[in-house]
Amino acid sequence: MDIIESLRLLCESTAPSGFEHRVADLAAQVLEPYVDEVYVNHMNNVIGVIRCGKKDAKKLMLVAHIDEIGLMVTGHDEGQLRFTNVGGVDRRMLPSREVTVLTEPPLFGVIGTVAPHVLTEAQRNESIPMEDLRIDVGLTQEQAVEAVPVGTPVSFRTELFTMGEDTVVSKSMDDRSCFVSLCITAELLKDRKLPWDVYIVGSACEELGYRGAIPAAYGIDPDVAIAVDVCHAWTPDVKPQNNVSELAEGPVITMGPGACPAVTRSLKRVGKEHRIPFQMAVQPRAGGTDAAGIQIIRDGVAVETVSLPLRYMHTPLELGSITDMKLLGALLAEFAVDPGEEVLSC
Amino acid sequence: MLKYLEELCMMPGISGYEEEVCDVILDIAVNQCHVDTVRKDVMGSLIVTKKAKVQSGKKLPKLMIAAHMDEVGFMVKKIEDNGYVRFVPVGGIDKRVVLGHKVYIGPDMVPGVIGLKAFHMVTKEEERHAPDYVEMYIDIGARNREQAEKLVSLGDQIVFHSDFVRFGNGMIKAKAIDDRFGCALMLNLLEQDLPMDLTCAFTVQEEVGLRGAYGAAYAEKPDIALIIEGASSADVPAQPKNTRVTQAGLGPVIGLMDNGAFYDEGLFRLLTSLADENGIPWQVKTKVAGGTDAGAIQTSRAGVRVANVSVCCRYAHTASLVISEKDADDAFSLVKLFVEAVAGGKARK
Repeated sequence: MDIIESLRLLCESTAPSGFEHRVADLAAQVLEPYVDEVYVNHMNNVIGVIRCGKKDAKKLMLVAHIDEIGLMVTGHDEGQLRFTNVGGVDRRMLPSREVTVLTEPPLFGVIGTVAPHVLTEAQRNESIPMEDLRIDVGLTQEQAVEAVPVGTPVSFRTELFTMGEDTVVSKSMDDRSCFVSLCITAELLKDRKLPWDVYIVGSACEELGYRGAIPAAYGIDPDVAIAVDVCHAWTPDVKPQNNVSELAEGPVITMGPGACPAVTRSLKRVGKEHRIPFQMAVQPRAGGTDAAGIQIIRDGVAVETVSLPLRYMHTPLELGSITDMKLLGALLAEFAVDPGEEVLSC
Repeated sequence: MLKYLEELCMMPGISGYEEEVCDVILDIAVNQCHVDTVRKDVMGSLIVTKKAKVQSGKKLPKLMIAAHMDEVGFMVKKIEDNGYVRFVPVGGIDKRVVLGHKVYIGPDMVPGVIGLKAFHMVTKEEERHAPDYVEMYIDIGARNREQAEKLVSLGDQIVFHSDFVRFGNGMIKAKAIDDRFGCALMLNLLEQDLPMDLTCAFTVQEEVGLRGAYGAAYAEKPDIALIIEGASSADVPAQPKNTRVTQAGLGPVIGLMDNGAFYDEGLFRLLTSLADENGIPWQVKTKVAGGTDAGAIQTSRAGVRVANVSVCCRYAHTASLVISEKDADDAFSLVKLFVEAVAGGKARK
């Protein structure tokens, strides 16, 4: 699989939470060569299966979300668009931000600013509240009302690019880089003997509270589910007490109430046995990934979160490491092949 | 009139680093416009002249048109042990418009990211505050200083990444329209047959204090100087209309007064009457803000009569400036009418 090209295809696709149909078919297309069956369901969840051949086999669900943070149009003002956020958006990166307004066909837009020549000293030091910002689409009020209905989603406008030997920068690396990592896992599982059926899921609506993964897991009814999502990698503005992970030093295995201890132990064993470097993270709550939603469906599921370190999360320029993606793909493939008795009895 | 605008805007060229832009302009001036003389001065400004198609024999004032080649941007200030790059702005850039932007660094155009930590780790207090440049950094994908130093050097210029986009009702988005617009306009004018001898100055370092215009005016000794600019603007819905300075779509901005110059009243009246007579809409700045190379040229030697025609630039000094193509076309028509009027002896004091 060409990792960069798969990332480019998926990350440059525009699909804020609730509007995943734009990316779901592409995600299914990337996954399709490595699974026995793949389909997109009514929630825009992408579901692929690698069957082990046993009847009534146990089920492992590996899930990464395919939605992205973005904006949504809430009104019109002198031909420019009022908007709100979809998912967590830092208002400090919005001024002078180029966006794609997802009408059909899409429109170019830019969030306007006032020239520095007319700013007051107080204005210069304060970030601009989101409600004072507008998207300039170069239209009159009448045209804007006609062309851009309220409720239209808006995506950040970024083209994927690489830096140095190992890093990739794009919007939506959260979490499509993890979906591509799962495709690496599926590719590595080709012709391997499996103790269970492996479901590879691209979930919708994670950024709004795992609203896609919950029904996906209900439908699949897995014995073990691992949410694969991004975590914070160190950057100069991160405080030491944030205890973040390091880029390019391997996937991150989570410990805490949001993780089944047997699965945590098994992943660490697999990492050590196969010399796959990994990092550990402490999560004292249920956690903010699809695992938190899946853990409490039906009569409960043994879950875990395995993460990919990412810099500048929730910005249009999220930076990840290809090395980490390959290591993550390998760790999950080896876990799927040999989870151990303790996990298989979950 | 916008024939050369895209090519010029895409070139990197912050104040003091105009050489690449200058080479492109020089090539067009010589090979497309067939100018008669070219001269690059000690600071790097390019001065070209083109003779009238037909010499009238009349004694006319010497006319110089000027626009600046430089754009705002940044410079590499420090390379950290961990491979991150620290930077400083060159020209006035609102620190609130740079976070999360892609930039290109140095002669090899090495891509970089002006990073910001994930929103999940931002406190309410941090969210309200616009970080200072000293807190910001650029990630170039280097793991340490050694890797970083192979890619970039201290003092390298840094420019915004931004493509050239046409959108909406005849709007154009690009970086550096301030003032590659003026450069493109002069090249379009020089391509044509001229009614009088004309000097065009493509100046350097306007954004750091009009530094290039001083020498150009001193050496050329013009009687009249017309400055073509991208006018700053606060043309957003949240701003009261009377303090928007200029508004896109209302026509070229004719200079009356700004923070650098008080424009010649007779030339101002000539420009407004030419616009009125030819059905060209025009506007003046509704607030005294910004400035042009006229600030340097007006006081050159014994003084120069200065005039100014600008295009309203929404979001000036950011990665994504926006102008109205019709404003730009109208500005070109007005400048052409002005040159014809001066050639016709209508600019006498």
